[in-house]
Order: sequence, then C-alpha cells, then structure tokens
Amino acid sequence: MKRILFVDDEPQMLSGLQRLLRPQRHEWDMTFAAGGEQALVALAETPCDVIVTDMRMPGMDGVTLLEQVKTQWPQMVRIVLSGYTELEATLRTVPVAHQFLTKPCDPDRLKEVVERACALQSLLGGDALRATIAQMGDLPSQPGVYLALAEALADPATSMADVARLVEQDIAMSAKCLQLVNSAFFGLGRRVTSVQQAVSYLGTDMLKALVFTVEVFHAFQPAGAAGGFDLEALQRHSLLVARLATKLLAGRQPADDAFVAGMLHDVGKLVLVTRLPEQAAAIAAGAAQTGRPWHVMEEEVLGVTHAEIGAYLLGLWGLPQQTVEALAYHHTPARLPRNEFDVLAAVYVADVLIDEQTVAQGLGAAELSGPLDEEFLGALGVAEQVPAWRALAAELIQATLEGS
Amino acid sequence: MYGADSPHDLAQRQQAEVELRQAQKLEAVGRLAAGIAHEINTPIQFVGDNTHFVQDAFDDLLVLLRRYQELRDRAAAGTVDAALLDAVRQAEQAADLEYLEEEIPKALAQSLEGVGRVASIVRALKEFAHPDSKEKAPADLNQALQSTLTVARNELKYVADVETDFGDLPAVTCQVGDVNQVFLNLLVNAAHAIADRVGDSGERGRIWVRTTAEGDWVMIAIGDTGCGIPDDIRSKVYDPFFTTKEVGRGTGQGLALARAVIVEQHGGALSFDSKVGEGTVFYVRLPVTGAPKARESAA
Repeated sequence: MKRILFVDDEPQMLSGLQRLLRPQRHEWDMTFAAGGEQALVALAETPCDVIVTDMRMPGMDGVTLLEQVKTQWPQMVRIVLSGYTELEATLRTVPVAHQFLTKPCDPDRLKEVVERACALQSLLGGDALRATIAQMGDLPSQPGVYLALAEALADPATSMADVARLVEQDIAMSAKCLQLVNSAFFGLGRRVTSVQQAVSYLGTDMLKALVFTVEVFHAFQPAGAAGGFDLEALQRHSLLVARLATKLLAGRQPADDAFVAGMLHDVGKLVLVTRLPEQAAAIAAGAAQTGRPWHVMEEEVLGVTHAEIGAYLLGLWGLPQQTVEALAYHHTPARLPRNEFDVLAAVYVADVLIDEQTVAQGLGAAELSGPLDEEFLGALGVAEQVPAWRALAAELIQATLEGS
Repeated sequence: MYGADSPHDLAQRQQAEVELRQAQKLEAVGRLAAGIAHEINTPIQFVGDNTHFVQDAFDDLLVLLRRYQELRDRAAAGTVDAALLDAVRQAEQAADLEYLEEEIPKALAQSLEGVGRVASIVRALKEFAHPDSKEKAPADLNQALQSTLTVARNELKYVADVETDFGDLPAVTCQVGDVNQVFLNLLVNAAHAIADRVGDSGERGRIWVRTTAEGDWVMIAIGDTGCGIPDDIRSKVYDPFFTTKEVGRGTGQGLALARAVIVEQHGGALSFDSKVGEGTVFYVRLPVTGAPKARESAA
C-alpha cells in the first residue's frame, strides 16, 4: 500500500481531505499532519511515498518542510497544494516541489495527481531504478515557464498575447524556441521572428510542448564534453524522431503529445550524463567497444535504462500517462499491450527508422535500436506501411541536411 | 502667476493628496489580495471536500435505505428470513454506517463554518473599502477595526497573535474608509516589526488593539512586541517616502498618510511610544464630532 502524507495548518482542511479521501483507504495508507514539525515526526516514524503540503504555515512552512524531505527522503514525490494563486510568486520560493496544485483544487484532480504519483512509483518502482534515482539525489522541479504557461492556458481569459508575453520573459528560451520553429521541423515556409507569431502559427498547445522540451534540454545541460557525449547529435536525433513520430500520427493524435514524446524520448540519457557522469562514461565506453546499443549497456551497468529514467522524470512532473509510457517503453513496446497505433508505437518506429536511415546515409554511427519488431507492428495492422515510413525517414533526414 | 498660498495652489495640493491616498489604498488592496485569496481559498477547498463527501455518503445511504424498505415490505408480508437480515447487515457495513453517523454532522457543521468564514471576509472587505463619500458620517470604529483585522488576517497570523480589547465607543463622525486605511497601515507595520525581530526563529509576537472613550474623544491604541523604532529616526517616521523597509515591502507612505488622515483631515492626534527591542504602541485620537481644525491652520 502506498503511504501518503497530507500537511496543512488548518485542521478543518485536513478533516475535509480525510473524509473526501476515505474511499481510497484500501489503496492508500494516509497520514494527516497539522504542520511541518508534525510532518517530520510522522516521517521519522514511517517514511512515505508521496507528500502533499500547504505552503504557508505558522512555524515551519512548506518550503522548509519540503527542503528537509528533499534531503532526507529524496525519492518521495513532493506535491504542493497551496491557497496562493500567484504562480510566479510560488515558483520563486519553491524550487522544492515536483508538482503544484492550487486551492480550491477539484477533488478528482487531487485524487488523480496523487494516484499518478503512486502509479509512477509502481510502474517504475523496480529496485534498480529506485537505487539509481536515489544516487542522483534530487531531480529538478517542473520547468517554470512551461508551468506558468500551462496555468495561464487553463484560464479561458488568457489571450495569445498573454501567452507570448509569458514566454518572452525568458529571453534565452524564446530565442531557442524561435530557432526550433524556424528549423525544417515545422516547415512553416516563412521566417517567424516573434513568439507572438509563433503562437499564431503553431497554436498554444504546440507552443507549450515546444517550451517544455526546450526547458528540459536546458535543465540537463551536460558540463563540457561529458564522457564524449554528443549533445548536438542527441538533439538532432530527437528532433528527427519527433518530426517523424508527429507525421506518423497525423490525424490520429494531437501533434503536441507526439512532439514531446519524440523530443524527449532519450532525455534519460541526458539525466544519466549530467547526474551520474561516471556510470554514463562507462556505458558509453562499453557501447563503443562492443557495438551494443546504449540501453543494453545501461541495463548491464545500472540494471535500468535511460527509457525508465526519462519516464520517471516526466511522470514526476505529472505529464500524461501516455507520454510517460512512450518514454518508458520506447525500446521495448511489446511489453505494454495495446491495440492501436499510438504515441508509444510512433516514437518506437520513428526512433528505429531514423537511426537506421542515419546510418544508411552514412551520417555517422547512431545508436542502433535493432530491427523493427515485425510481430508488434503486424498486431497493430501497420506492418505494410513500414516501407513508406522508411522512405519518409530518409526524406526527413535529407531535408534537415539541406535546411541546415 | 499665483502666490504660494493661492486658492488654486491649495486646490491642486488637495487634489494631489487625494490622488496619493487613492493610490496607496489601491496598493494596499493589491498587497492584501494574495492573502485574502488564501483566506478564501482554504475554506472553499474544505467546503468542497466536505460537500463531495456528503454527496457520496448520501448515495451509499440511499442503497442502505432501499434495503431497509425491502426489509419493511418483507416484514409486512411476514417473509423476513436470515438471508435478508444478513444482507441488511452487510449493506450497513458497506455503507460504513458508524463512520457516516459520526462524520456527516461534522462535515456539515464545518462546511457551514467555512461558508460563514468566506461571507465574513467578503463583508469585511466591503466595509473596509467603504465607498468614499465626500461627507463624513458617524461610524462604529470597533466594527471598523474588526473588519480591518479580518482583511489583514493573513498578513498578521503567521507572525503574531492578535488580542483585542474594545471599549464602549460612541459613533465617531469620520471618513471611515480613510480611517480603516490608517488602521491597516499601523497593523501591517506592527506585523513587519515583529517579523524583523523574530526572523526565522519560528517565534511569534503579539499585536494588541485597545479602544477607549475619553470624553469627546476616542483613543485607539495599536501595540506590538516588535523591534521598536530607533531614537535617531523617530523624528522622520512621518516624512513622506521615509522608509526602513526594503523595496516591495513599503513605500514610505504609510505613516505620512496616517498623519494626513488623522491630523489634517479629522483634527485628531497621532503619537507613539517605542522601546527598541521591546515594541511600539501607536495612539490614534479622534474627536467624536469629526470637526477638523480649519484646513488653513493645519497647513
């Protein structure tokens, strides 16, 4: 049973939650603490999987509490449920939470967020992953501009100009976004020079996805040439996979989900390179010597792969389940039974084909993901489309070369 | 063109003061808004949680009720058997009857309390931001203080316990919106002084508010156990733009405005006692009749 700790200085608030969540009592072991000090006492007795806390409390406040939790129990998922609505003020004071909820929070949303945090720990709760994540210490919070954007977009009163302004606050990031928008990826046919323009061309959901990926890449910037890791090659590969996956799913799924999953399918590698550089170097050396794929070497060295690590990170930030799954199983899609061609399947196919065609065109030794799983594709009824997809992959790689 | 004291000049200065006051009021509302939102959002959250709970509980109880009705019908027909009794018992268990009996009344009572809390905040806000009438009107200052304390609650509650000792006051003729603004400024100053003194120690201070009638006057004292006002700045605290607070926490208008409202606008008096390291008490004295000194003699 998952253990969840709720903290608030308002006793009425706690008893309300206690009643509301009583139907969950068979799945969740819930503890309620009336403040930071009490919470730490409870945790010292029995650690929890998830903590949900108010921010502003007399005595020990939410920030101090979460800082302590972060040092002592880094694997706990830290969620803030705060009555303060100015998101940016909250963000400044709280680089210590994985997710933010604001009061009043819809009960179903609260349940869903906690449920997901628990599911994440079950889905990805193997001992090897736990141990690896624990070695990394603390993982960063949800990207700030993305979060502000998501919050703003939830408000119907938000205009496109508001959205653009939010993004423009971070100059380096908006420059990076515009660079991507103008890359061959979007094929807009004209040069986009402002975030405002980008919003009207791409729509707000796509811009949100774009901002998210840019911020994530930024958060895991490897220091120097970590173990011969080629960040640019990874970004180029990710962009191609995102582009192909989006095309494969055209008309079936919203483009932003495929884009995020494609762009970030290998984010676990970045996490490894930046957080566990020694192990990452050993994995890279092993892969170079034996010619085996990274994920196989990772399994050997760590017992987990970048796929699970990346999925864990996105899950921690509350991204949709299908994106988390797409990351977790992008090398082993058959492990997760499904009956339609979805984001996971598209990212899997795109990853394999882009690697294959990169090598075929003599553009360097990409990570070989192995041949496509014909049986898996056959079950989804898409096996006969593979040749066309292969051609599309080759075309995209060419277009990128010409574009740059 | 005009002399220093020409009527035109005076009118301009008065206009500027009115605008400054309005600006300060808006600034205060902005600063308070976050705290007030918090004070409202918390009860909204638990009222919502409780209501959901009662809704689900009602569904469960309805299932049980159907069982009881079946029991009644079968009793009337004389066909009650062990199996039915067992089913009823099981339904009772499934509904968690004992828990519901205990918790539903509490959930309802706490929800009502929460709704009451929100209503009192909204009422206090309305009273605090009392629509500016040009004319002074008789006002209950104890009530005004209570509203101001409610509005400022979130600014105070994390650093101090607030005690009130309200005496019997006659109605005081005043522009209560402006006077509330003065009370708010003094309370926020008190909270800041305490925060400066206790720092991050987790300790709390005390703020107290006392009102007394003194013949044709009323006296409002607002005291704190904060850091106190150092000797060398005592003569400057009423100067416009004088502040010891960092940017974003104060503009140096609070006490300047307090003096303009109390002394010039209402013919009252404003003074303080302070001991460094022990605290400060501000005294606001207002004439019950609201008769100001002649504007010219004050200026």
